[in-house]
Amino acid sequence: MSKSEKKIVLKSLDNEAFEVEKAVALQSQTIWVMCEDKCVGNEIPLENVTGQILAKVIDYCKKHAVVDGDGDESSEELKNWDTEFTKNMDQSTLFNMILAANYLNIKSLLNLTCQAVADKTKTIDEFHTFLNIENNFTPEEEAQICQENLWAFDD
Amino acid sequence: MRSSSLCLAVKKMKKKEKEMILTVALPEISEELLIEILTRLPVKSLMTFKCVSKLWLSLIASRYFTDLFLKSSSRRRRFFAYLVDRETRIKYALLASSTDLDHSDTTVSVIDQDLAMSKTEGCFVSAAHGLACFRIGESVRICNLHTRQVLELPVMLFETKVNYNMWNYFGHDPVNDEYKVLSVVWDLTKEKRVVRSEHQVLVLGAGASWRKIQCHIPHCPGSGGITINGVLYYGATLDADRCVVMSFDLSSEEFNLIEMPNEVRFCWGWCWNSFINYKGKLALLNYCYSCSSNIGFFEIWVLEDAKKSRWLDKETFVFPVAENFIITNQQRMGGTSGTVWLAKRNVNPGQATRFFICDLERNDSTQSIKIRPLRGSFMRTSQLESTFWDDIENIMYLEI
Repeated sequence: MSKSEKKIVLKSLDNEAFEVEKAVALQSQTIWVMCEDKCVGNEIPLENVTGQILAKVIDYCKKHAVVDGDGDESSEELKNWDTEFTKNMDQSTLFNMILAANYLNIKSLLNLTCQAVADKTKTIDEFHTFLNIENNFTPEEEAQICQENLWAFDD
Repeated sequence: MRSSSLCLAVKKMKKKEKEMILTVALPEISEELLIEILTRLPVKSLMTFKCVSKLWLSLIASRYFTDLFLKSSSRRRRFFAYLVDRETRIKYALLASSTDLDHSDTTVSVIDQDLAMSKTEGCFVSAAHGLACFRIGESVRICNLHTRQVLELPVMLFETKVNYNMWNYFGHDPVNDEYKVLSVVWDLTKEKRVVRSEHQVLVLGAGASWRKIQCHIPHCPGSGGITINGVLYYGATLDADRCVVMSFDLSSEEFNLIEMPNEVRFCWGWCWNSFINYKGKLALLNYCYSCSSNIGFFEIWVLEDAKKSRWLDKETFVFPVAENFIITNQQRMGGTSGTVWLAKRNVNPGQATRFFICDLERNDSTQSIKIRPLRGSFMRTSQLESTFWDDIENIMYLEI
């Protein structure tokens, strides 16, 4: 494989281009399939991901590609890196990361980001801040369900 | 509510953002992704989320969601303790560890949470996948220890009506993914010979009822049960001096008799004998104590062939001397065997008790568990029956 074939360009929704090692990009099953099909050139348009999110996804893939490749870092260190990676992300970024991980089909990143949202979101109020859900219970119905699960509301 | 209406809006309220209030409309999140997130939440949060909307209520209660949750929760384990006053069987405590033990950094877990569940007095029958079965008199109850739901099963009707005894077992059939309760009643002659035994099964779920099943070996159950690969095993007696092991296939509902190893004369109900899951097989475990050398050891006989009643020669494990020990039959993460918990003294509700958890497969005891002292009426109870086990989290909604 020549040097140029090892690189691949990923283009975001807002036309930001990222040149990355093929080994890094191929962690995405979606990109892997696109490359296998040879239906794209060296530049892959990713219409569902913004540049800001794609940059973060690439950071994740770079970290995980290196570790899988030469085993320099222990799985413990990688776990810590993952924790740090999602620690300061706000809910909006996390949600966009979930959507990107799902679209790009990167299972480990999807697991990580879903877990991060779950860890940060424990109460209904927290969920309501980012999920616009219509509560279609009557007050009586809601009171009854709350009553049945009273222990869970107790802090 | 349709899934399409589960659209998302994110309100960022952080002052550090340049915009004072920014409302970002996210692209619609699929129900599939929402479920991915929800299955990772603790049971307690999910219970409160039932109030969010009708869709969420039916989703969280659905079998589909329950199964997904079970898969993801199999990584999380908790310890449980059931302490009951042996005489009245009315005073009891049902306790749990509040932290999930495989993810905790310490090697000491603490049973510190009182589940405060009503209607779980009586006898502990057994536990499976986060559910537990209790019986008081003729009333059998199933409860979900994580959602704290308790369900009373329908009353059983038996042909045997005079002087009968009753025993129950509870387990999960992996073939049909069903939870089953087995009920056995029996009649004894004066010579303690079992003349007849009746057997009924109830499959947990909507419209559940007791159903008679056939067993051609009249027997009297004599020990707690253990389920390994969908087969329930328990100790039984046929007459005053014939002890055997009975097996009950939870899927085909067939009973079989397994003879004991030749050199073993077990007496069911003797607390130093028990069953254990050893490397995925049924094993008989016997605790022996040598006064002269002051050592305690376990002897284990492993069932090699159930049809031929063939047992492997015993293996022996030496452990520190214990006054009390408990066997948990759940398979631990990364291992295929159950564990044995050893305590230096008997459980006293007024004082903290510490158990050491022995892993027979690795032959070590690096983990331990502490039970906080209990307050209240238990302090005056001298006759205490204690049962301990570890289990995964389950969110299954119970219905009959």
